[in-house]
Amino acid sequence: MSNDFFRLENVAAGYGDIQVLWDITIDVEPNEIVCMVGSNGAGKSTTLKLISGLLKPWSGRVIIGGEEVVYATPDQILAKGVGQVPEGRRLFNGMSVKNNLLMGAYLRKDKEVDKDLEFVYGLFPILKERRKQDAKTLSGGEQQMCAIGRGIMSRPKLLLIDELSLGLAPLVVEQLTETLKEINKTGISILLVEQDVMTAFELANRGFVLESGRVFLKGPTRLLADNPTVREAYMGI
Amino acid sequence: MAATLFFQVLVNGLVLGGLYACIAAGFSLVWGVLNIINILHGTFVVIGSYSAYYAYIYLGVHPFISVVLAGIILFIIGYLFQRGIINRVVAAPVLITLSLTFGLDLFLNNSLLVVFSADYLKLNLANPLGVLQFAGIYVPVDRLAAMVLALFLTCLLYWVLEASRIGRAIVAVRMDREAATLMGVNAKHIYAVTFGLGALMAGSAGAMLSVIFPISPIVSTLYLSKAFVICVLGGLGSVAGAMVGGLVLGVVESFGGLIFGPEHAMTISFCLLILLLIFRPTGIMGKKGYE
Ligand SMILES: Nc1ncnc2c1ncn2[C@@H]1O[C@H](COP(=O)(O)OP(=O)(O)OP(=O)(O)O)[C@@H](O)[C@H]1O
Ligand SMILES: [Mg+2]
Repeated sequence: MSNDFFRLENVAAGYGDIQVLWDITIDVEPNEIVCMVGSNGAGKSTTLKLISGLLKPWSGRVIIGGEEVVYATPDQILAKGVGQVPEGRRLFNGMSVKNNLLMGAYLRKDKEVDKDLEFVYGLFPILKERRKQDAKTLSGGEQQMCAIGRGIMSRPKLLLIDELSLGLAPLVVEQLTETLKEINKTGISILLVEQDVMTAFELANRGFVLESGRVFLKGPTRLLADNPTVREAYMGI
Repeated sequence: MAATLFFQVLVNGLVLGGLYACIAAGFSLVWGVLNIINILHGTFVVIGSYSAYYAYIYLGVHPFISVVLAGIILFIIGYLFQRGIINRVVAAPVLITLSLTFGLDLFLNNSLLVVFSADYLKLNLANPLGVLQFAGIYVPVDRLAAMVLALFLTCLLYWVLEASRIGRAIVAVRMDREAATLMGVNAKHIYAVTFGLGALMAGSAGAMLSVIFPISPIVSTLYLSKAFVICVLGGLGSVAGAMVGGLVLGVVESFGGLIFGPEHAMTISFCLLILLLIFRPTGIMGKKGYE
């Protein structure tokens, strides 16, 4: 049975005339953590951009919340409950930590934004301490916390995270991993793109391996972790 | 110089400077956020003055109330100009956007000349608020009120940018357009709102200026060049900088006018500009607004 919560079906896409993605089919179930791994330039970020509506699919179908979305703009995708923590954090420099978090809630009109702000501060107490500080003065780890916090401020049903561990010390990554599990328990599904396959497999219960813009392998992460090709190519074992 | 004269000239300068600050804040916002040097800005001020003038003549609305009217009219004009025309080249190098707003200004300003002619109009209030006298210094209350209102508007703009949802979006789009888009911001709309706010500040200032200076389409370049000088004085894209720069320029012009004669006010502004560009190119405040 196909999963209607979130699914890409035979999607192709690219930049200008250059095709980057071929026949991508991936899905995420409610309350699930799924990872997408693959070498540099495999097309992981491109896939996330496509999901967020920054890039239009050339062919194939995108299904979010049981509906096919056609020519949706990023704000429409976000309103449908798909938020993104972009590669490299992309915080708004010159704006305070708090204002960065509030940007995540830009589309929301409800009265519970303050409550969610407190929820984020609860997950990352350091952000509360630094809330008035310019976001660019945060350490790498704190910036990633702020970016994740900003991502969940939109109250997504599915959160896309691009390169969680990039440039961060193992201890910080460990901490972020735990927080993501906590976030997941509140009912937010996660699609995690990650270079560090160990971290990705620890967190996710299913995985997709992308290679040259195609889905090359997929399955439960415990099986992928035993796959000789994956072990050799991505885990260095 | 006698103390009374000194303070009289200082007060005159501050009153003028408050109005300059209001004009420059909008110009600076558009330059800082959109990277557009908006040549239309002076003409927007003039349209604000005409709105206030005719609202007073035909409807009996006091210019200080017309500030709101002029602001709304100019916001709409500004929004439509940006959304309909300027957005098409918004990411282009500054020379292209400058040429575009220059061309649009030729069109708009000449349209005003056709409609209103170049003759100066003077708005004479039927019930002026009189003159305040304090320790030998005279201040017309209407001017003082205009300045207070102008500074209030400038502070309001500052607050909007710092603490409102739309202000956050403006800064976010300025910093990282793609990331802002991912937050659900419609960049084209925000660009138009920004340009509209710039025009609003110009129009409101124009309405207040109508009680002080004669009105004609040909004074637009005067306001434009002052806004330009103030932006360089105060540092680009910062409302606080425009406020400080505006007050400084007002005071400098006021004293310069006393010493060298009022006809040299513009010369003095531009000498100041040149000196600043040589010795302190980042402005008095020492930093650019969005860095
Ligand atoms: N804006 C762009 N314009 C043109 N080509 C692009 C653009 N962005 C990415 N590409 C190309 O698309 C391909 C896939 O890039 P993508 O960023 O999706 O890879 P990735 O899997 O995220 O890699 P990494 O692990 O290094 O982040 C690459 O060949 C890249 O050069
Ligand atoms: Mg990437």
